Amino acid sequence: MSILTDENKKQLKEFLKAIERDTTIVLFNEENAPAGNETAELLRAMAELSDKLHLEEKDFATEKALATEYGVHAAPGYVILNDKKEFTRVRFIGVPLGHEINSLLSALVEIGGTTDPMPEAMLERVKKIDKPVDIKVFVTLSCPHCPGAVQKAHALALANPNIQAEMVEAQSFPELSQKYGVGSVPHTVFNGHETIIGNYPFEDFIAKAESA
Amino acid sequence: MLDLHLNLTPEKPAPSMFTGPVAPDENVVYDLLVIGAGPAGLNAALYAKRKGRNVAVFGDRVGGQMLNTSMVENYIGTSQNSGYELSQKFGNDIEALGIPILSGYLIDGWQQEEDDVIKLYATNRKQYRGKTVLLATGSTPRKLGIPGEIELADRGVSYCAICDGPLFKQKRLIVAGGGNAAAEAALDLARIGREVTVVQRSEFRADHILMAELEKLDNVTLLTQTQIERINGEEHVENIEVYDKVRGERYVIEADAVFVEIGHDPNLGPFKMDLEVNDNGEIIVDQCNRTNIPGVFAAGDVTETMYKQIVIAAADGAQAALSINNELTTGESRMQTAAHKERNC
Repeated sequence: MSILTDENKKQLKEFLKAIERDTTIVLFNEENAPAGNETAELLRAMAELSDKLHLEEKDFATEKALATEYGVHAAPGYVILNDKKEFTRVRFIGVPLGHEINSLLSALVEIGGTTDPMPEAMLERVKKIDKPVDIKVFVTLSCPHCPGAVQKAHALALANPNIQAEMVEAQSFPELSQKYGVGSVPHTVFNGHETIIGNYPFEDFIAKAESA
Repeated sequence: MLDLHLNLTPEKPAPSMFTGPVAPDENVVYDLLVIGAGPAGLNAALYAKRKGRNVAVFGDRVGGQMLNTSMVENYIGTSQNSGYELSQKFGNDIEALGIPILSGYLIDGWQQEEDDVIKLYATNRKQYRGKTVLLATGSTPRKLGIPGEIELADRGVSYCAICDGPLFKQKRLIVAGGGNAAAEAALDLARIGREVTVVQRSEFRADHILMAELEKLDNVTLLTQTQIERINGEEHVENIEVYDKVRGERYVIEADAVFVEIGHDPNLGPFKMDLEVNDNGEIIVDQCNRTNIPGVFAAGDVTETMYKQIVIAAADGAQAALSINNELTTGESRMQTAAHKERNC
């Protein structure tokens, strides 16, 4: 049984045309991972709908070293590699359904397509960040404000090699959500201590990354 | 088990946060600058554009409060749309007309320039000029204003049921309020939580069709004439203290989360100091949507319109755009502000 309707596939295919360069999703999965099957099924379907989009499936339990290299700490977890097969520091933990399909599609187009660049003044600020910054954006699938926050976190990661950013689907990972005190989403944590709750302007995200 | 209703709603192609609709031009004096991208603002932009007016929209979130609604079932002709889908459709119509939108930033200052031009300052540090301004800035969720609410915000106290509901699966949930928004939140939450208690300080005023749905649900309790006095909890919400006004009794309801749906407060932004408002802080406008500030109009939830509904806000936006068009055409009534209560737009 497919989780995608024909209409979904048509929409996705149209959308995925924006990916112009080879782009690879590396998925780390394991049995009993929350919505692991659905995640794999969706990503496989997406890879089938685009010549430029590729999927590599790994076993989370046995390929720990690679998972660690990409910062994948839970399954299903997946990262995006660019056309040179370089890790883009863009990561997802949990199923990208509901509104979160938009976070994934945005990241793919940002990496494999042509989009407007970040305004110069912002880019300069982001590039100056010279310490490691880890960003986690906790989301729910029914939250319309969440993809905006994920997109901003990922944009920071794409602009500076010191920054990594991930979406975390909060409902599937209650322990992690509890650890960071997630009670409203989008809930974005910078280096485990600085927090933005809500989808605020990009400059607020830059400021938190600077002070984290 | 995970709730895996596939709600695949891709946005339009080219989703870069730095792409999207055309941005407004700093070097143009627009006929109309619309602040707010909810139903009132977007419909005003559509009407003004169709009248041949040069219009730009400034909105933090396209769709505004519609985004916080799971299903919109009372906008005629568009049943079975989620608030998100309807927001997308509104936004698409504006984009198709080539109307520039600045999103993701706020307007944080304004100034009256010479030659009847109003200048807006945006948080992207740019300035935009217009002959008229429409405030369609809507409102933000009203707080209960009780002990524990701010302390436990984002730790069980929530103002967005569709966003935060999934975090409280099989938990005991409270909805504060008795209007449509509260009833809709309770219906959504009843599918997620173990039990849902709707607490209303007076009587319910939600649509009959919603109340009938709620009354059918085994895990929903409806309390009227009951005031929430305090939200308690150490790390998270643990319980609420309520006062039953009929029995004159105080008691405690154990709860893991409180969803506040008691209405909204108008967003006046940088115009706050200069606008005439009513006791609720809503902008006073005349029948032509004029405020007391020459050249500045207002429409939708930010004004004193009696009922805050998508269709009413949209209609109010259209009316404002037509008044503005008329004022720009005739070049008069510049000084006729709300204080004059002119009937002729």
